[in-house]
Amino acid sequence: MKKTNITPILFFIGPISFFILAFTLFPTVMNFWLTFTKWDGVTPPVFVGIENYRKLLVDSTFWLSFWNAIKYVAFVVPLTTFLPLFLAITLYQEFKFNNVFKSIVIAPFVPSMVVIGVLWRWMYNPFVGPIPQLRALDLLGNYGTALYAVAFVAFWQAMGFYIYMFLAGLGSISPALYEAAKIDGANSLQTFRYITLPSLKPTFAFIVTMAIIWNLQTFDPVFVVSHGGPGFATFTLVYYIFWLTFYRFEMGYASTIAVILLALTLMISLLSLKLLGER
Amino acid sequence: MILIVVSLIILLPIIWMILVSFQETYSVFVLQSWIPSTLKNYVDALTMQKGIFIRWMFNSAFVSGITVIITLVISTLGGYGFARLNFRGRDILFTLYLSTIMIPFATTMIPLLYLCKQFGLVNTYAGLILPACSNIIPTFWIRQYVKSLPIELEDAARVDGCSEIQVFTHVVFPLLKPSMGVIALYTLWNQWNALLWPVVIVQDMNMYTANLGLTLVTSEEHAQMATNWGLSMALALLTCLPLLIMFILFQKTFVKGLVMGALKA
Repeated sequence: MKKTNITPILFFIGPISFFILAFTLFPTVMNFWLTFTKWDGVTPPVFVGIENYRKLLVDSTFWLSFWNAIKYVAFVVPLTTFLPLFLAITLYQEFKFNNVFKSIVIAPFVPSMVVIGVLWRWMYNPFVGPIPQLRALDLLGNYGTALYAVAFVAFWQAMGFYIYMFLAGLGSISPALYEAAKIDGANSLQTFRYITLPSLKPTFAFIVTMAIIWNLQTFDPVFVVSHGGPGFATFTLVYYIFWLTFYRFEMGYASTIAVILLALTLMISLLSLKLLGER
Repeated sequence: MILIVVSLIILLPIIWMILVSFQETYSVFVLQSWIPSTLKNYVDALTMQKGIFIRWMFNSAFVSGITVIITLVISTLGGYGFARLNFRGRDILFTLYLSTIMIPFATTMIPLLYLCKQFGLVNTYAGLILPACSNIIPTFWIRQYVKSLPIELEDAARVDGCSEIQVFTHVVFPLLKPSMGVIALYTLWNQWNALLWPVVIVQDMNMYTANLGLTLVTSEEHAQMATNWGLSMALALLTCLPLLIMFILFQKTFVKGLVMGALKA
């Protein structure tokens, strides 16, 4: 009987375990604890029971952030699923300059959102922006449009990424299916409708889920393009958490919102797993 | 067709951005013409506030570089360990680790801040680097890849008397090089562009990363910088220059890393 040698186990999985436990798992548990405290970041946390949760229910800024996050997702996700899908289908065929278009389209995704945000702050600027129509609209200064202006920037940057995801999905469709369709005499529209689209369903579902979860947590575009303004008009959930931490020093309360965010994310993941499973 | 329209929508703002960075900033209508006219913005960018931007770029490079090295080490070790070593609870443990991808960063951010304050990691390189290494995805990739390798090679080494560690270093590790390339680029890209964590953990302007420092051109406190659009664009372009170079040189691998980096399911 060989005794399990512990040294190699520690050597191999020790390091990653340390990082995951110390910097992700433990803080997550701690976050739950923090939701029952009031903490300003300097003095030790003070236990306050469920006060933070009660506060949450009546906090209008929280609900604003919450609905903004929903609106943001509702605006971005359809954009990032339909347009890139069609573009991916076009790009999937081999034609001249195919690769040039592919490179152009992914280019905005390489720099950070800060770089892109700086660019779009100029684009949207009502005094010096390059497009007169945009200047006149002052999208960022307007309570009604600011959130969508920010959302568009995120979409503009990520469009290429989603195209690549769809391209990967298209690549996973077995060519045998296409051949069978050809033999059966299907034209390109029929092939698209009966072979391509159904085969893309799992990819599509996955991309939609990912887009929802990712955009629910949006922070960078808001921080750079609008700073949450005008007023609180572009506050999203994560931006609110940040704002509470940085400007209000209400970290116990911010943790509470973080827990809500976690719950939302888990719910969406589970929901999508269930729906995916049925397909 | 529509591709050309889309490409234009993407390209035009970028081209404008580049052009603006080469022009004098006037009070109205920055984009004067299509002809670049001056390098002043770039000089200003590099010399402003006693060359703090260069310090920022160094910070970004240092932080990203060390993060990549640490990530490569822990993910190759961990991936191999979870793929080949057999011990009780191995798969349950891995599933637990894997579940962390569902945890939004905002949920760990505040406790991380608390921990970093306790251990004096605020405004330090360690504070910027260490939390970023807590990512199970590279380990997941390596584990997948190792599982796909034929086990005969390793068994042969074991028969020859190698210890587990030697099996790893001599047989498996050399085969991981392509995966390591993808992980390196993915990690570099993630860290270089990081914003939410750096803005929380760093208040000392000397310790800013380039990406974080760039946000100053959008803030109201630095209004003079904010209205100097030529300078802003120059700074922005300089900040993403290293990544763009990486992108041009290693496009296929880079994109692979980006795409796989988001494969969370």
